[in-house]
Amino acid sequence: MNLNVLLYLEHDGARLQGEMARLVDKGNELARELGGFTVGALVGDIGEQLSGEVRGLKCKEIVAVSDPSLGEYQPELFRSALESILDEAAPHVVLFRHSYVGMELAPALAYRRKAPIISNCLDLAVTDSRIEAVRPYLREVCWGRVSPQGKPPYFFTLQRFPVRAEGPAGNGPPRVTEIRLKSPAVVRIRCRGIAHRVESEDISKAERIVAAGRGIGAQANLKIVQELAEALGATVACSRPIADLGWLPVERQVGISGKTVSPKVYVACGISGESQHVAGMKDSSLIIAINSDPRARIFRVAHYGVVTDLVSFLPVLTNAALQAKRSGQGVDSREA
Amino acid sequence: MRLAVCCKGIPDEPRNVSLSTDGTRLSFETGSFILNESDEYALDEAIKWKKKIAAEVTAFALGGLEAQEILYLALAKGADDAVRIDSMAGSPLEVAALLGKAVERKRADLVLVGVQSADHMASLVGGLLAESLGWPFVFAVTSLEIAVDRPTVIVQRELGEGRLQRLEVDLPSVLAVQTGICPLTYAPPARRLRARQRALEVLDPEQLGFSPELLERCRRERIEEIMPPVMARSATMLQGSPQEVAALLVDRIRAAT
Repeated sequence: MNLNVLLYLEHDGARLQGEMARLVDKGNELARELGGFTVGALVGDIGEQLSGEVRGLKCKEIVAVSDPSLGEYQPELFRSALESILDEAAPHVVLFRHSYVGMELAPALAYRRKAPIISNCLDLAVTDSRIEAVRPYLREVCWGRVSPQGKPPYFFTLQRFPVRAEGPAGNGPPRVTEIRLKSPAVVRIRCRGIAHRVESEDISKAERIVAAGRGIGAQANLKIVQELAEALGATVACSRPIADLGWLPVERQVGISGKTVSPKVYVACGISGESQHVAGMKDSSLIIAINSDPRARIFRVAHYGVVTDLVSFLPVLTNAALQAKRSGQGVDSREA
Repeated sequence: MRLAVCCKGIPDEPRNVSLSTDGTRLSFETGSFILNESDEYALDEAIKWKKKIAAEVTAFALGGLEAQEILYLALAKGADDAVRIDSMAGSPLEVAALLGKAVERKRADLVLVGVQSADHMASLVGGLLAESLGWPFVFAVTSLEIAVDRPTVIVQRELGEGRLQRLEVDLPSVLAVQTGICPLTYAPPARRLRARQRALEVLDPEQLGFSPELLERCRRERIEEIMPPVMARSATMLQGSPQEVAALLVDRIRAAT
């Protein structure tokens, strides 16, 4: 056992997913403080594009399992490949994104290694060579500082990767070690194909977004959200509950399970601000949150907040936007 | 075929949180406990299949009286029976270990859990439960097809960023169900009242083969301290008449684009 940090390099077959370079920065920060280095774990049918992208990462080493049978993500095969990588790299710490794939693979591996796992972490830090996580508890009423107990490797899934200090530039591309896939004895899951959601409109390209959340109360209130969007020349989007209820199509959904957007203006109407949603919109240039609950977590990411009843306030805002448009102040970005 | 559904009661509005000195338990006050949202979808999906293929549905919950209330709701929604595991265990591995033994006892063929509990948002119990049973596991399932005469199920699951995958999964297995997999059903008060007359099966950890020491070994984390959340950004809260606030927002929106 060494003091290295293993990072699962998540990809969609062609490109790395999520902010993988930042996860590597976070891994490097922890590895420096532990006295080890970072090792990237790469599993798939690795082609030119992906391996090129991976060579640009600031890991010291990559341990890769590349096999034609890994062309499509399959949980048992990927887990098995990661078990071989864990044997090879013998890391002290293992990091996954808190993504669907991370949430599927990380607990299975931790269980098999009889190792601690702390998930959905907001941050990780090393104090006196002990690693600790910060994660939310009780609907984010509080955060807790949590330490893994027992023997390493210590598994974590990270919701975000704040990096305190950038490390020195790497000395060239990572050294790559390839190991062979050991197929599991029994395969109980078979892939039947991957599909992408069919989209009529791509909300990720919109400059302005007005998004509706559960706080709009009734389906009939979607109308006032749509009227505001029209007055602002914005695209309508939503958080997960609205898509689950079938009030808006799922292609309008912003968040981990939907789209990642970063428009110039994001107006969140009745959105509570669960981390699943925030992950998909936090990089918007201007975030305005309108919510009747003063404790709504959306106010933690918004630039401007209004605590008010949506049903009475949104029409006032719509009117103000229409007035500005009429007076030629160019509120509608499509006219600008 | 027997379907098992793991249901968690979560605090509606937790407040005044404190941490036990051994770092294992959070105490808090709350208005009430409610059935965790994604677990409710798992439950309704199971009950939907009960009607289609004559399966039996058993609801499981862990905890004290609050868990009992959740199980009465499960019965009112149409579960055939309900099992309460009388334990205050809180760490995901402890919960998964206890649920695993209870599920084995009931000889379930398929276990449905929600993707996440809205209180601690760990998303770990399903995956750990599957490993403890040695069964396959799929996370973020958005549709499920069960056929009576088939030893497998077909699922559609999310991979994130709009990618969906279809998988055929051998039974027995554990699936973590996404919200929105089916419409939620409503249990009328009369049916909820009737459900309260039903007997629940109560199992304690010893009956499931767990001594306190053995359960303790399933706890691999310690909460060192709790703190108020640190805000990434603190929004400037706008006050004034609706017209004033609206005018200011329009001004900011214009400046930003």
